[in-house]
Amino acid sequence: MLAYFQAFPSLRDTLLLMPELQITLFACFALVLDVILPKEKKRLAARVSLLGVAFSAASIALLVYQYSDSLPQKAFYDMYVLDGFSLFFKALFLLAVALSIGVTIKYLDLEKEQTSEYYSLMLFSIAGMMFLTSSHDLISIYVSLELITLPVYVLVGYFKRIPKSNEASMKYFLLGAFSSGILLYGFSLLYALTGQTNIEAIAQIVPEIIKTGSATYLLLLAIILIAAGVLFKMAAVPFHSWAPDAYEGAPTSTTAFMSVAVKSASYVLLARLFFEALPSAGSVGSVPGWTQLLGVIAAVTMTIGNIAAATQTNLKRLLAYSSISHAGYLLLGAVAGNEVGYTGIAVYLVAYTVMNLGTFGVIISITRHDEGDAASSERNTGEHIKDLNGLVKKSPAIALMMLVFLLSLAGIPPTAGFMGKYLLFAGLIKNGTDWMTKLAVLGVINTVISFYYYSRLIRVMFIADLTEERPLTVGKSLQTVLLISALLTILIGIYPQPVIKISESAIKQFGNISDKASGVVPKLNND
Amino acid sequence: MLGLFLDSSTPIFGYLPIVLLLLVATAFPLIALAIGKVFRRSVFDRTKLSAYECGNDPVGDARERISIRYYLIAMLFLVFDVETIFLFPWAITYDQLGLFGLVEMFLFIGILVVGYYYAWRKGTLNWV
Amino acid sequence: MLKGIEVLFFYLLSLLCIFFSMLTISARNAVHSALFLISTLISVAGLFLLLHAEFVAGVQILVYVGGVLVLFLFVIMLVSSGQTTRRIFTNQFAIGVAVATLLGLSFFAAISQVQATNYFRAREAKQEVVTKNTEKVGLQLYTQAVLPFEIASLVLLVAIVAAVRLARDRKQEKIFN
Repeated sequence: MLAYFQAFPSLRDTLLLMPELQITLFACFALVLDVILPKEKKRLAARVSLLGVAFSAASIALLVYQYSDSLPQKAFYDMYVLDGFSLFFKALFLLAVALSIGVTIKYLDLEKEQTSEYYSLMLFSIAGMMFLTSSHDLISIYVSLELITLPVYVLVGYFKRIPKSNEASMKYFLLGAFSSGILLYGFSLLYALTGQTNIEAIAQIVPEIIKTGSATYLLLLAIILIAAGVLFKMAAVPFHSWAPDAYEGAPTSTTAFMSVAVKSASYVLLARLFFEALPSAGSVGSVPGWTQLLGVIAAVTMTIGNIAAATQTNLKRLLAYSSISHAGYLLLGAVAGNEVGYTGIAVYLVAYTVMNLGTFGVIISITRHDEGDAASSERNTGEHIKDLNGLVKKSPAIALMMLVFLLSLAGIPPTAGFMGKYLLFAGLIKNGTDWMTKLAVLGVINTVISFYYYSRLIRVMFIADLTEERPLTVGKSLQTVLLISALLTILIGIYPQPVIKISESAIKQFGNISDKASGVVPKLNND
Repeated sequence: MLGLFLDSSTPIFGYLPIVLLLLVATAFPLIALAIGKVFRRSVFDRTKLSAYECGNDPVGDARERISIRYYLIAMLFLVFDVETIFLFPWAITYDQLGLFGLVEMFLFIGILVVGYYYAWRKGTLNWV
Repeated sequence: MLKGIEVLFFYLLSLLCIFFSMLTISARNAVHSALFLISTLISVAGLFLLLHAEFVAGVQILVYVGGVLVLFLFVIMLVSSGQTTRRIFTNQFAIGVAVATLLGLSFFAAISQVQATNYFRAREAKQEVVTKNTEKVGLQLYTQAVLPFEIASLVLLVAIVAAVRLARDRKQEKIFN
């Protein structure tokens, strides 16, 4: 009998899992609420979900308090790791989902389809992301990734009687499943090379392969396949073609959620796979490795995203292309491969979460439905640039907040977006390689291009005449979200030290590895 | 050369009965058809070649669109099929896993029961 | 290493697998395509047997052939009324061929390098005539991989929700909550 109990992973293992467990529990609860509650009371599920997020945040705070001196903590046979990185991103995901829930309450009211499943699916996806941040094994990384994407496919096609939403969901699902397959293929090659699925064990064996040069091509192939899978999830060129259609067709609240949470999750994936498992493969012997690969991808992604965004007239489509270009900026941090660059990624993701959710919140606040036009594909008004016309006359507060978000997206000081971009470019310049400096210059040029289309939005908001007389109806939840996002955007811009400090402690574990990534001979581990 | 092929120490020889079964199963219908071909009279006229549908004239295509409810049932079947697959290795190692194994399997099934309850209350199991 | 008659089986099953998967993507009728996919998956199950992964081979047949493919056929019946596509490949055919060739060549290069350096030799697994594969899978799955195993059940739960949310018909939506 005693042996039975000893076989349990200790209570500590389960305690480490607390934030995820609470989110999962509340997700199940919201699901059950959907069938218990009558139709008119389903808004309750949103509150329950927020309660779950609060509980989870509290347990993250407790974990920080308990373990901040003794990180990393490993559990579940080294499949799960609690480190600064995972705690940071867990908190970020909770922030993203809390703001998304606020946006969603208003949007589902607009659509007159207040259902609890929506919140439940969102929480399941977030639970997947939280599992992903702590996954320290290829198997758990893959399973968590599936838990992230599967609910999002449903959320994109949530309004099943709208053909555009269906199309978006179908495209996203087919390409997403395909890219998961490619990622898995890369994983299988990595396993074939190392005989390990544990991230740490892989990180020890890969330098050996590079040094002996016995299987470098297969390693490169594995890196390319894994990169293809990851780049798809973050919508980087050339795997971006799903993003504009999916972003445009999806319910706006889903677009907001996808563009911040799923995008951040894809960078967590990048960090675990490239910064932690394959840091030594930044360049493989004399051939270029993932540093150069990501450098090229980042350059192309920024440029194509910005140029395509400049020609859009649909707001959601414009933001889709802008989010593609942001994926490019974020990759610059990975290319830099030093502490500044990695910090830049973390800070920029925080900034991107608040500013992008804020922007989508404003779009939802100007969304109206033209009654009796439910079946047509263009039924939403408020997704076109001209719907912003003269916003300042209708609601100066919202126009001002939109101004903050747009300036931040463009990277103008003193906003959060500027701090993030500054760190990303600084990382490249600090690395000092010739082509990296050029890449930083390209990034600055792209920022200028992006200012063109953001300023177009600002112009119509403040200068153009009102074209739509109906007043705005901003709910209490949406107001709160907009306020929080705007405040955080400005606060991080003016006083960035705390966020930078937390980000630095989050990426500390990659920091010492990063010197190896930039070409220095990797330390050998013979075991 | 042949001796190398028939090296009976290779584990694959354990599957010899299955391979034989496959061969017999393939051969049986082929032989039956061949025998039929030899003995039957071959007369082909219009009436014989027309499709038979319980005395009525056949109407429409055999491949009609089916109701989406079949899809839902099939999907639920698939999910619980996968669940059952997970039970196989668990059942074999149950005695070695002990209480821990019992707890984790209860958790696994418990999570799926939530989904089952949801699907039930949503009326997907009813043919309304 | 495969030896004796296993080599013969390996090449037979691999060729069958390639042959049927070619037929799967080139069949003009969706139902035929699905049926060819069944043959492909059965060949893959045979390959798993050769690798002594008996459990995976069984799962392959039970889940993929018995479950997923039935679902595929349902979906095909759901949407099409027996139409066959006129042109199966679109104008991206040339790009597809180029990418496939590139990928094939790089795999060829990678695998020949590994063979030349004998890289995999060191990691060869021990062989037994009688394997207790399912038991080994069970012990690994329910101790080491307990976390992914539980996450997998969440994925299955989401799959149920997804199917119910997206595929209920109007009548069911009207009567039930």
